[in-house]
Amino acid sequence: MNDKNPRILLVEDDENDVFLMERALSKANLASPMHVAMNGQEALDYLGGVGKYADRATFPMPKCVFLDLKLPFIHGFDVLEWIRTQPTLGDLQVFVLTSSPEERDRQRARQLGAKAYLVKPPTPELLLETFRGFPQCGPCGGN
Amino acid sequence: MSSQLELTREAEQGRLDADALRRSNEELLHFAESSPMPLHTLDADGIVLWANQAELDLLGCTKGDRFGQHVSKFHADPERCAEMLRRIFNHEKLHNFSARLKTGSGQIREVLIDSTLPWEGNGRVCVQCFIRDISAEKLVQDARQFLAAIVESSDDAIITKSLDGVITSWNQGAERLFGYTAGDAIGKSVLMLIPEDRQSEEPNILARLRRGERIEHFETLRRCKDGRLLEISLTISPVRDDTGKIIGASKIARDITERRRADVALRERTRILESLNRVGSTLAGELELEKLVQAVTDAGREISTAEFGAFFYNVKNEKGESYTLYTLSGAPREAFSKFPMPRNTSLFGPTFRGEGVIRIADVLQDPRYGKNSPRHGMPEGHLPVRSYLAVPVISRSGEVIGGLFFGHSKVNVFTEEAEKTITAVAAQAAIGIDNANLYRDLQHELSAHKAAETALRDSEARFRALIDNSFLPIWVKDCDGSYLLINKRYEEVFNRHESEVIGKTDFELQPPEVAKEFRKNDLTVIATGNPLEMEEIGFQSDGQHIYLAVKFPLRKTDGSIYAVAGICTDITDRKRTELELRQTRENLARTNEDLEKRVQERTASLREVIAQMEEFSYSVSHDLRAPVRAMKGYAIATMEDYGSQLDARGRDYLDRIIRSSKRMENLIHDVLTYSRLARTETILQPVSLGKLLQDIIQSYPTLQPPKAEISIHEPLHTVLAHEPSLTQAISNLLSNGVKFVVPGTKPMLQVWTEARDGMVRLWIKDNGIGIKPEYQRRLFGMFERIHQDHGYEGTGIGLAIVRKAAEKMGGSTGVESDGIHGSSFWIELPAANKV
Repeated sequence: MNDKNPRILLVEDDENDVFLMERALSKANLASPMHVAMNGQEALDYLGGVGKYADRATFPMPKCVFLDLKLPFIHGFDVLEWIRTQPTLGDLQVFVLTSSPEERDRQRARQLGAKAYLVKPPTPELLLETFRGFPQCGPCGGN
Repeated sequence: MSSQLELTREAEQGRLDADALRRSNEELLHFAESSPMPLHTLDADGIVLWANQAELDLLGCTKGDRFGQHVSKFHADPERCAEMLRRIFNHEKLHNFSARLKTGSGQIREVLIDSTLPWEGNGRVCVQCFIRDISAEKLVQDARQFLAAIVESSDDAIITKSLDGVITSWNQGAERLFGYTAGDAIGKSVLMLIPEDRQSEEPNILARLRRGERIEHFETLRRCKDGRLLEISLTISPVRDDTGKIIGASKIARDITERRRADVALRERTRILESLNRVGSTLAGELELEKLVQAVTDAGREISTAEFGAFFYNVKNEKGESYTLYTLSGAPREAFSKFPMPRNTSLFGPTFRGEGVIRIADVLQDPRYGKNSPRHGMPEGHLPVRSYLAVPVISRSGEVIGGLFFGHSKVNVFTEEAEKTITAVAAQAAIGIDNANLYRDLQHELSAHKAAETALRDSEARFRALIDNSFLPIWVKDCDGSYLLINKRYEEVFNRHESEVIGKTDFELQPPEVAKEFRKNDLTVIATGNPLEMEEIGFQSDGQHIYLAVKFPLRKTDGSIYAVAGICTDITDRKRTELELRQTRENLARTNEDLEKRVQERTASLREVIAQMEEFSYSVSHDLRAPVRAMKGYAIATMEDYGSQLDARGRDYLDRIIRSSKRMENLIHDVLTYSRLARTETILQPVSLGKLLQDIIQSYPTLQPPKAEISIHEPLHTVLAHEPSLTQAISNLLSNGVKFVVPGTKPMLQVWTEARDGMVRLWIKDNGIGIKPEYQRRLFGMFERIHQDHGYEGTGIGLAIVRKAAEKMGGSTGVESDGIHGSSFWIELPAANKV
């Protein structure tokens, strides 16, 4: 998981969902290096370059974030909101990846600047579709 | 009497017959004793030895008072008594010695005393005295002397005459009046006093006298000694002798010449005064100028005894120009109408200039007469004037109003008296004319005033009617709080007659604290001059009432406030209703508050429930799905990665896990959809069904050829709907339509709309397996699946979602099917205005 040049940050606390995400990416041939933050705080630390994440050689700045909403400690929307306040993260694309099909969550995510709203489980078609809209985010891979 | 005494003496001296003597003595004594003439016996010392009863009666005393007492005791003059005794005892026989005796009761008696000569008897010297009481005679005599003196000194002539007319007495008054002395007149006939033409009076008078008549205040003429005729008043009375026989007459004559002259003067004066008085009252009473001046002229002529009179007077017309009018008296108007107005001639001028009275005995002889051109005298045809009297009439302000002119054809008619009187009349006339002018001015003012007053009265009457007919009580109080006016309604409402209220204050009509409040409000109105509206509490016979009163000041024309008027409405009932209403409202508010509170509490708890529900749904949507998703994901991964290593049964198991988890996912999805729909607020807007159907078909590949064929029969109506909910409902119906077909059959759907009384019904007819009527009722229930699970995937929630969505949008849903030839589902919604 700790690829050399992670272009994707997945914020997800459920290992099953992490597995499904990795599987979908791989099936879609989007073998992009991905770092998984297991909770909101870790996501903030990574993006803010806090602690060990200051080492951008090891923990490079991702091009996009797949963000779950229902997270322990810090909610996905809080993360989204924080990202918006960071001037250095202006180019970062955030895609919400959630179990909630709720319209209110969809709207909220859009308001907070999420570029896509994906209902789990992620499928290779869904991911390909998403990246088609944002070619700078990938598929970049190491190739 | 002395002979009787001599008899006594002879008897004593003779001693002839003792018995005879004794008898004679007793007789004498009895005679003396019973004699009506008072007599007594004195001794030489003047002591009364004896007195008879007559004397005791005269002196009003007893024997004890007289016997043995000195004679002087009953004499009024001691000196006279002493003289009497001296003369008696000097051997003088008294005769008619006058003396005055004093009786026991103090009365004085005039008496004449006779006495015997002193004689010796029984050894002592005695004397008898006889007394005659002459008091009554004396009185008569005195009276006669007194009367004679009166007659003699009287101013009136008092004469007596015999029945044949011969003068028998003549007093000094007669002497003074007629000039004859008593000596001249007595014995002569009274005819000498009677003028020739009145000689017949005497027999007349005498005849009446003989009949005993008295003649009083007979006024006639008599001639005196020097020939002058005197006017006299006679009073003649018969004179009778002691037997009552008429023997003559007394005559009292009084000179009334002066009085007669005075009478004439007085009568004249009275006449003038009467005239003046009449004129005066006319002048005072007469306010019409024309009548007034006529009255003045008439009165003047009467008083002055003129033959004719005229009054020329100046009046001013409305332009203030002066001109002269005149009235006439004693001459017809034609007598003057041909002559011009008198000019300022030397005769008339002074009068018109107010220079005083002109009285001329003979105007023709007057130097002022005939001095002016062109006539030099009276014009031809003028009334003949000799006596002339002209008096100016001057007003109080000094202005000459005019002149009174009187004339007489004889000379020397107008006396000084007349002049004075006419002057007085002129003064009166001036006042009268002034008054008349004032009156006339006043009349003008009055008529204007009256018109205004009438208008005012009319308006007052209208005002009064208005006030009286007012349905509201109205009153007016003066600044002291006394009622000046109340209307009928006030009387009715307060059950008090006007007479009980007018002039009274509230302190006499209301309880003190109420009156105090009324007064306070009244004073506020007076002080501020502004209307005041307030609620006041007053008392009527049935108790306390509340009034809404409007009070306002009444002002005089100068703006000062002279009264406070008020109008009030009894709002007792209204107040009561208001109070009840307020209480009801308060109760209601309280109830509402409670209700509101309860609702809020309920709402809060409901919100909490909803929030919990949402939280639950959220959790379900996130957390419930995660394991299913993992199960399915791993099952698929296992199938993909290791399917080749499993046998057919193993793969079948994996496939069942995958399908079950998929179904689980669908169930969760539908339940979430349903619950979301149920709690979503649905705002209705016009929705075009055609476009909506196209969008739905576009997003579901299963609804598109070649999998299915959906025919839409245009045009479709527009409905009022919540688009997401409607989308959900139609999607479900279309999905169902294409789903429940006999395997191998291509789903064919017909879609159209139908307008139904303000609603639009959207029909979706399929060529599916149909639904038997007995199942149709259960069809839209939750988790109701009527098809056994032979290949028809379904959660049993889809139609429940449709029904919930339709109901949330004010519509309904249903199905028609015979259970053989497919089904016709419909959803009905309110029509939008446009098709």
